[in-house]
Parts: sequence; C-alpha cells; structure tokens
Amino acid sequence: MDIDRPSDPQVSVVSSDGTMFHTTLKSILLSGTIKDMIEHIGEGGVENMGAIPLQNVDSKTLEIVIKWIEHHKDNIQPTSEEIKDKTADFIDPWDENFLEMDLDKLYNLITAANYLNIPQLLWLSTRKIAMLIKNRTPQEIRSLFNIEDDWTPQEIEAVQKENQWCEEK
Amino acid sequence: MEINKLPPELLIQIFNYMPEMIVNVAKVCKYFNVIATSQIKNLSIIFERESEEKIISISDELNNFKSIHNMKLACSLDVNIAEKADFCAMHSNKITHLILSDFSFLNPFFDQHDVIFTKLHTLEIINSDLTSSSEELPSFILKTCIALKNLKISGCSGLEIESLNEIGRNLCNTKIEKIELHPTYSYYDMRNIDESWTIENLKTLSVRSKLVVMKKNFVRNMLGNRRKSLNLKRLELIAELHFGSNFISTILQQFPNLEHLAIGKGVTEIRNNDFTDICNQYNQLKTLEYHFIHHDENLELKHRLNVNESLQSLTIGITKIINFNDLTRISKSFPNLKKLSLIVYYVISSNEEYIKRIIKIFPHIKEFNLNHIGQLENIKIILN
Repeated sequence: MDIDRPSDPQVSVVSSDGTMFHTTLKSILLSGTIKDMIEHIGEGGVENMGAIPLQNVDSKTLEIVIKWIEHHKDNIQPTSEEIKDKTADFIDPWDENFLEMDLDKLYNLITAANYLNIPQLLWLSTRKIAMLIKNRTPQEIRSLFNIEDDWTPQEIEAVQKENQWCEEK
Repeated sequence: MEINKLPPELLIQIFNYMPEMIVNVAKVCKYFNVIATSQIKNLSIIFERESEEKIISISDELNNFKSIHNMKLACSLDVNIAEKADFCAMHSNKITHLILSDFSFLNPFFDQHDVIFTKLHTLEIINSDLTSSSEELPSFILKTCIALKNLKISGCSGLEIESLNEIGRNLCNTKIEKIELHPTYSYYDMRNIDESWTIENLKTLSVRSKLVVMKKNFVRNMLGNRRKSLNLKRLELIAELHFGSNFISTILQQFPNLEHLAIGKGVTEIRNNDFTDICNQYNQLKTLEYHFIHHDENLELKHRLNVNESLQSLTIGITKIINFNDLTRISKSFPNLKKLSLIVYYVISSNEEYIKRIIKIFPHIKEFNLNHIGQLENIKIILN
C-alpha cells in the first residue's frame, strides 16, 4: 500500500440512485462539469472533499461513463469548439466496440455525457445515433426509436404531397 | 429510447452528422420537423436520375428549411439538365459546394448570366466532356462563382487550353486558393499554357495524371521566374511532365514555404540529388512524395541528409531499390516520420522479411505501405 500521496488521487462520485463509485482524479477531470466543481474547491482539498453527488446520472450509466473516462484518461481530449467541426472522423476501434449497447443505454449515455460535459464522449454517442438513422425512411426511424407519429392525417397528406420525391428515394 | 425527448441542442448535434438525411428526418415527427427546418445549417443533396417533377418538388420543399446556410449539391448532368440548372439558380445563395458530373453538351449552368453563386466556395467538375462548354467555363468560374476558393477539374476531357489560360490569367482577381487539375488522356496540351498565370495567391496547386503529357513550357510558363510565391503550401506535380533542367532549384527558389510536395512519375529531370536538396532546404516540409520516372533508377543518398523534424509522411516511388544503409540514414534524419510508403521494383528478401527490417529501421512509424511492383496487392501495415 502506498504511504506517500499518490500522484493521481482517488475521487468518489455518487449516482442519482445512491451508488458510490471510485475513480482517479485524472479520469474524472475529463468531465468539464466535475472539473469546474473541483477547481472551486482547489486541488489540495480533493482528498477531503468527500463523494461528489451526480443527481442526473444513474448507477448503470455512471458505470459506463467511468469505464470510458478511465480508458481515455491519458488521451488528449478535443475541446467543444474542436468537436463542432468534426463529422466522420476516425473512430478508435475500442470506442466503436464500447458503443455497442442497446438504445436505452445509449440515450442515457448521451444525456450523461451532456450533463457531465465530456465533449468527446458526447460526440461519439450522438454520432452513433446519427449512424443508426442514416439511410432510413421516416417510418423506419419512428419504428427504431419508438417515436409516435404525431402528424394529423391532413398534415401527412400535405407533407406527402409536397415531398413525394423523398419517400420514393 | 426517447430520442424525441432529447433537448434541441443534442438533436441538432445528431442531425448535423447527416446533412443528406435532413429532409427525411423532418418528416418523422413535429418536434424533429421544427428542429430540422429552423435550426439545421448544413444540407446535402445528390441529384442523379430524378424526374423533372421530383427536382421541382425538392426545390419547393427546401423553401421550408429557413436556416440552411451551407448546401452541398452533387449534380449528375446527363439527364434533366435544365431543371437541375434551375434548381441551382433558385438556391444559388445557399449552395456552398457544387459537384457537377457527367455532362457532355452545352451546359445551361453557364448560360445563366444573371445568376451569382454568392457562397459557393468549392466547385468540382468531374467525369465530363467539356468540349462544348469549354468557352463558357471561364466566365462561369470567374464571374458567377464570386466566392470560389477551391476549384477541381478531374477526369474531364475537351477543355481548351485557352479556357484554362483565361482562368489562370485571372486567378489574382479571384479568391481561388486551391486548384486541382487531374486530367485524363486527350486533355489539354500544356505546351500552349499561357505565361501570364497569376498563381501568387494559391495555397495549393495540384496536377496529377498518369497519362497526360505536358511539355516543358508548362513548368517554365506556370512556375517560371516571375511566379515566386510565399503563399504556396502544397505543390503536386505527378504527371508526364517535362520540367526542363534545374527544375528542383526553381521550385526551391520560387516556393520557399512549401509544406507538402509531390513530384515525379514521368518527370524526366528528377535526380537523386534532388531528394537531398528538397529535404535539406525545406525544414518545414510535412509530406514528401517523390517518384522517379523509371523503375531502373535507385534512390541513392550521395550527399549529406540534414535532420528534418517536421517531415511526417514520406513516399518514395518507382525506385528499383533503396539500400538499407540509405533507409537508416533517412530514418535518423526524419525522427518524427509517422508514415512511410515505398514503391519498389526489387525486394531482396521476402515481403515479410523486408517489412520486418523496415520496421526495425523505422521504429517510430505508425504506418508502412509497400507497393512491390508486379505484385497484385499493396501491403499496408498499421503499427501501434
């Protein structure tokens, strides 16, 4: 057991349903939201600050997020501004594999990455949704995501008349 | 998954990854429709063999998308040319990237003198016979596409040299900073290229072709003594070019700030010493593609090769062989090299042993490509 202060101290976070997770400071700093919190405390106080409550992230999602940040803790992360210009950049095969999850988990991951302000994870997860949508008709998109068709018959008729070309594609 | 409950900023982010799907997405539900028609700035459309009615319908539909600022349009002009030209005219204030392909007759695009593409920054003309459009093309590029920055003419035939010269002469009066000419056989005869090309503002000049023969006046006229440019960062001359003598010294003198250089494949005056001259003089060079004309020439380093820390990608092509001592010198001189590509005629040992040896000599590279002439497959090795 290390007696000296470790170079990358442990930090605890608590999910919305009360589960505590332990990770390293270096990993958790990938979250812009938590980084802001810690900067207000000052790094010297990290070891004494107690567990950080994350009201908007449940334990299943937080576990996934921690897996991702721990894997990427040594990588240089792009800023939100840099992310804006990204479209179909190269995806790390590890990330590609990591994102193989059901749609509910993916949805929760997007909202968590947004809340925690992790631009690269948000880019990866939203891009994954875009890839799922690509080349599908409106009806197929509705079926995939269980979206209610809220157009009135009159509106559908008007839109279909106007956009017949699109359905035919 | 309640994707339709995502906040607008996240849906916008998702939709922005698929500009070609926006019109479809807008029909999924009312919430998506509001986001797609009022918040999305980028749209991509491909016209192939759509009917006249369909093209008109698309055009009308796009009027609902109020926030579109950047429209990429790929337009095959083999059928319904007039409707497609009307579409472009109608949306000329939104189209930022236009790809025209497959046309062979006089093109109505070039006759619409009252149309101005105010935001078009990239124009690609590909796989077309330009014989009947050659005369109108310069005016279209110089007067209609007033914001053009990138011009690519690729896989086309029939472009008259006078038309090309007119564009070249007026480059300094445009915003064009990137020109790519990738001609096919039966393309222009570069012997008659005008001496008054104004390439001073260009950042990229690329001529790539396996087949076209461009005579020595090409270099003298296009890249001659009056053509010094501090702006040019990328120069690619991969064609049957005849550069005349002292070609490399001309390049070095006229374009001191190059960061990317590709020369060769048919260039008659490329010599061994040119390689070291280029590497030693261009301290800021990031990529170098260097090809001999014949596969019976060897790259031999006869002079000192200085350390160049900026070079990240090196291609040496159509060389009979490069000995391992010279490769070791190259490795030591380019400590930050990430990608190495060799096109060689002879490999002394088996490909596997050769690759192992290369990787040992270049321990820091991330990618190695080997094209062993006469073998069907190119070998690509990605290293961690």
